[in-house]
Amino acid sequence: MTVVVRDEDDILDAQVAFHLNAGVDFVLAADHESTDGTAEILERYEREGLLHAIRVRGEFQQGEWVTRLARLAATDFRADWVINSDADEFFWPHGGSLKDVLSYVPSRFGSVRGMWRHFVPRPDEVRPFAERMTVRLCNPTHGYGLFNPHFKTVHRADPEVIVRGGNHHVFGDLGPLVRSWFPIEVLHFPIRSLEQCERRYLRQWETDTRAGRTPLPQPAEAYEAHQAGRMNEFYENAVVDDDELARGLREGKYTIDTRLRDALRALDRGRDSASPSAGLVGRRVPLDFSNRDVDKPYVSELGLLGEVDELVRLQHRIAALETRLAGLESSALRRLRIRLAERHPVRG
Amino acid sequence: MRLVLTLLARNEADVIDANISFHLDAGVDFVIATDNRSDDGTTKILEAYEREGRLRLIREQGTDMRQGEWVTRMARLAAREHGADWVIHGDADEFYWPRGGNLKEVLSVVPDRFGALRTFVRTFLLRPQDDRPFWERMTVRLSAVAPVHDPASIFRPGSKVIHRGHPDIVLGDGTHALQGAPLPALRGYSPIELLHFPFRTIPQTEAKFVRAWEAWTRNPNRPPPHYYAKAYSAIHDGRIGRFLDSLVVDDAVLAHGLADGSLVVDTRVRNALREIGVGNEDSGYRARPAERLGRLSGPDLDEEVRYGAETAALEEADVVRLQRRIDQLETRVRSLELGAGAHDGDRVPR
Repeated sequence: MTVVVRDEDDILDAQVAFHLNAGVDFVLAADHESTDGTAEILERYEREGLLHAIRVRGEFQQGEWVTRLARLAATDFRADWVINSDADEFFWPHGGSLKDVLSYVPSRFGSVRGMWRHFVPRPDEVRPFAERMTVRLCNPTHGYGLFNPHFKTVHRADPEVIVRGGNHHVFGDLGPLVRSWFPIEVLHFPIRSLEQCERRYLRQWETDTRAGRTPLPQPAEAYEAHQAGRMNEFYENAVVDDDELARGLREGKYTIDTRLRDALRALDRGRDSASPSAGLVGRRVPLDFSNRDVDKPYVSELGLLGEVDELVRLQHRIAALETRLAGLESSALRRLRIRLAERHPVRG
Repeated sequence: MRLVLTLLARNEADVIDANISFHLDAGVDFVIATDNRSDDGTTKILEAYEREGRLRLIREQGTDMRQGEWVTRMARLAAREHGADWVIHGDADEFYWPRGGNLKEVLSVVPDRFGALRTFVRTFLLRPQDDRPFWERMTVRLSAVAPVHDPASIFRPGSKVIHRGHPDIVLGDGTHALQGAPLPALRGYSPIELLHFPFRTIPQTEAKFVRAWEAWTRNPNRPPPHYYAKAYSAIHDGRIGRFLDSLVVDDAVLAHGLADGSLVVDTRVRNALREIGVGNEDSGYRARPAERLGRLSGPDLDEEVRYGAETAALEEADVVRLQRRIDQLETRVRSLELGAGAHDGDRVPR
């Protein structure tokens, strides 16, 4: 697994430990100028021989850095498959561990996809994020926000692979994509606290602005709020409080999903309490991924992904062209008949 | 939820009882069947289910295989007169298998805003003949993880559409797509497989090809599918014996196919029909009582991945079909540029 991180010490230990217990053998990390405890967490896993970290500096170049890590996985770390993750993503396999699921993919296919499932921020910033954030959004909407329906691509190792920014698409001599089968859910925890929310959006705004791009709506709003001293208000608007949760559960907007919380509790159980600073490194706990039941929100979100699928869009465009052409053909035929009638009028 | 199955049948006495019993057991509430001039006992079986109140029988005397028109008629009846929430369209040799639970359960999780699903066809192969019914012999399934693009191949990947009941729905020949109905298709979720047993004995297969060829050639709106043309040409040239023999999977071919993964042993339909009791002397043509709703086994991880790979092959085939549609569009545009409209009959099968 590869991961690019910057100041992620509230989530990184859980993220790495989870994946090492979900079937990942080794982690390649790029640390982008972290100043919190992120580097120490990475070093703990490095000392255990479970992770290799590189340090990256300068403008945020996610695609370039992930591509470098993914190629390194193929050339130096004997990877068969590579998962390119962010620190706030937990790849949850269906039916077995990540390794189980990927090992069944027929050899001629080169990549499969995981579907994003978004968890929303909740009040109470004292407890760890996974203890609080057990509410999942059921109706993501298309757009540029953090909560849009999307996928992440997991691919066979390839020394020439190219991973585009966001880790949604990969390119290379990999073999076909298994397009309609999503054997992995990507549990996504993008906003977790006021401080992290502010940091995330302001960095995103700065990156876009420096690159001469128009900042996306949410970072732009966050930047405005920050400038006006209203960041608290901005964050509170994003938090789902108990009243909104009750309403959302009734309306089917939210659902309670404790899978990650329970998995992390299992990892935490029996940890060496005498040295809490050791974190979860070295924990080995069998996690249960056997449940493959699907419910309405899952199917609905798959449908949303289907709507933006390139092949489906192409089918729609061709169908629309066929309809337009049929209209033109019928007009042409009508004109032809009129011309024929004019040339050869029926005499009565 | 009320689930209606439509069936179009002609001389399918060896399979029709198993088909209807299976689907009534798997969650179908009611069957609408069109019997197209059967003379082999099929009608008698359909009438038995009709007497039980589980089936409405339409006797279609047409000789020109207007499949789309006949299926559309049944689909509309399902919505208008039989309160169908969902409608599935089968041929007698097609068994809709829900991937876990029953047909109603897997359809119940489809969000309201979606009105149609694709089912993926998985074909069972002809095995050397003996005295047993087809489901006891035909437990070998093709598992093609790469698409067959040849339009003349009977094994190219295919799909059919399942949809919510709609009074004005229009279906085309082959039931591959809806036409003009406001029922958005859900992509990415294919919880129902279509287990297909097209060739069950040599005589049945030969009769099927001859009958189908003759009926399709009388259809003014569509030429016969390429694979019927191929079979008919073999009949015409006296090569039919060799052609049919080539469809039989003997033990050597089976061993080879199992070793390279292109064939799998799949006993699900056999086991379900054994459990239902189809073929027992005391069941005969009787419709099963409605009190028991079958629960069919879901896939294990190996099968789940295989299914994903096979659906991916179908999507690769979709790309080729799209290219063919673009070719047709170009031909029609050229025709317009030359000052004349193209004719529907010129179009090649998708």
